[in-house]
Amino acid sequence: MPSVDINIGPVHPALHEPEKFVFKVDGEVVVDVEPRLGYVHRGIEKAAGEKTFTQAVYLVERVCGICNVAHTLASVQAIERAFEVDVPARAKYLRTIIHELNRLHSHLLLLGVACELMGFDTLFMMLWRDREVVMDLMELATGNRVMSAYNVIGGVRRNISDHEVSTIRKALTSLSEGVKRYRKAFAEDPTIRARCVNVGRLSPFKGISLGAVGPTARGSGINVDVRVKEPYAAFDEIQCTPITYNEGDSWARFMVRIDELHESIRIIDEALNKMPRGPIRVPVAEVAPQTAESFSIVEAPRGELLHHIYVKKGEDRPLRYRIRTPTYANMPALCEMLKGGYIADIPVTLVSIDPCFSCTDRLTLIDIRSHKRKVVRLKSSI
Amino acid sequence: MVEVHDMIIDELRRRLKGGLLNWDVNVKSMCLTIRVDRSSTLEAIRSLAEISEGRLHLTTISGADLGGDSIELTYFLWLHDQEERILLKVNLPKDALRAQSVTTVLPAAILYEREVYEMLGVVFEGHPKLERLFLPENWPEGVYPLRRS
Repeated sequence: MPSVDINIGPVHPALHEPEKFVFKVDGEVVVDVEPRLGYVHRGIEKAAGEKTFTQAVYLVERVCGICNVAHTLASVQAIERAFEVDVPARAKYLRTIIHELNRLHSHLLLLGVACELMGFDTLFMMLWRDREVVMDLMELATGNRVMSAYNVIGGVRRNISDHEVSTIRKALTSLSEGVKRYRKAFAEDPTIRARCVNVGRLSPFKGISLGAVGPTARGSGINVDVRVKEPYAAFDEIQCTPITYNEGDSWARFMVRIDELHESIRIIDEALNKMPRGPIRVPVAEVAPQTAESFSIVEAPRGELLHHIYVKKGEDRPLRYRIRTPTYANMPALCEMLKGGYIADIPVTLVSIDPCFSCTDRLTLIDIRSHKRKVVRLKSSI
Repeated sequence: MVEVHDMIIDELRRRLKGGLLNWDVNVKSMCLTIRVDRSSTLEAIRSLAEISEGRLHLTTISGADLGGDSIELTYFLWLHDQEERILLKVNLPKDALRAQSVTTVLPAAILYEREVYEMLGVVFEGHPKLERLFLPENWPEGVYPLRRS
């Protein structure tokens, strides 16, 4: 039996981002996976060290368009901690609300992508239709659908009026009804269950030792959620429950996200109720008042996100800016999930960690004995 | 909180002896920062893994060249059982950038160590496959983008 290497990526019409995986397969079963990262490495950490603190926040927002609020939140919190700035209470609540709206749109996006990949186009369209509700709320609250630039050092950029609060409440109530239907579909639909149950399994032990984070870890029963374990913004005053499933397969990871939609809607509702009145921003010095090191960890839609900075007294730029994104942390766990699975299950397992990957259509076969290579289309090989 | 910190420090003192250089608790974040000698890195990680009964999460390894004659590595750790955040710090002199790989205890470190290696030139002894991670294949040898010199 010749060993077969399957190359996925780096450039592929169906991939949303360039990344390459080489799968070693034995028949239909994946034996080993070798990721090749860095096709979109833009040197943002290096560039952030050459920008002023204010500029750096806008730069790191562009690490990821989908979870931009998580990046700006981690960034401003790290800078505020180094500068010893206290943010007004209302700003903390507003940050929490926008952070959760961002999670809603990100989870709905991923669940839609997953449905499309499984061939369930109706549910994909319905999920993305409801995602528009959240995008409209983002535009209402921040002024933009995607890149919100909402969090600034010392607070937030815009306030939410009482009228806007009632609009948000109304929209989320109707969204909540839709999410109930989607939950039923994911929990019971035979097509979805056939494609996801027992696919891409990750044990809790492997999940911890390989450093899995976010819904990927929670789908394996690992009780982690930065919002609960290391509360930031207004999470020390808002009730939040980590959603865990013990199955450890792709289905569990999707179910975690669906239940988190309900949890996020509830968090936003509680934050709107408890939000105090008052200022939303305090002025902050442009240069660092002292030499310090600080970090901030937040629960981005894909999991634990870290921003770590060093600042020097009198300087207006960070000495070192370090970012660790959740998908990077989930990469070793993803390779573990793929091993032992079928080639046909690769897309579902990939998408279950939410890295924006999809199907394969090109193979390189390598005959170990003759060292001959030939490229064939995946469809003609099955 | 304080008892947990005492327990961790006592255990590390017993296991590392002189390898434990100092420790400090950040007043605001209540987060324990421990500084160890570079020859004690692996033993420190092993001790923390045993304290948390194998439930030790490595958030990342963060390397920084702050312009002096050494490079600082920060291991961001989370002890699941104790629900404690710990920062483990190691300083490496620039004329001998060699560190102990912790991949035998924490496989999660495989990619992080490769990143620190390619960005700052730190060689992790015992790493199963210390190759470049993000930089292109034609990147010149011996050029480390995050080094200040």
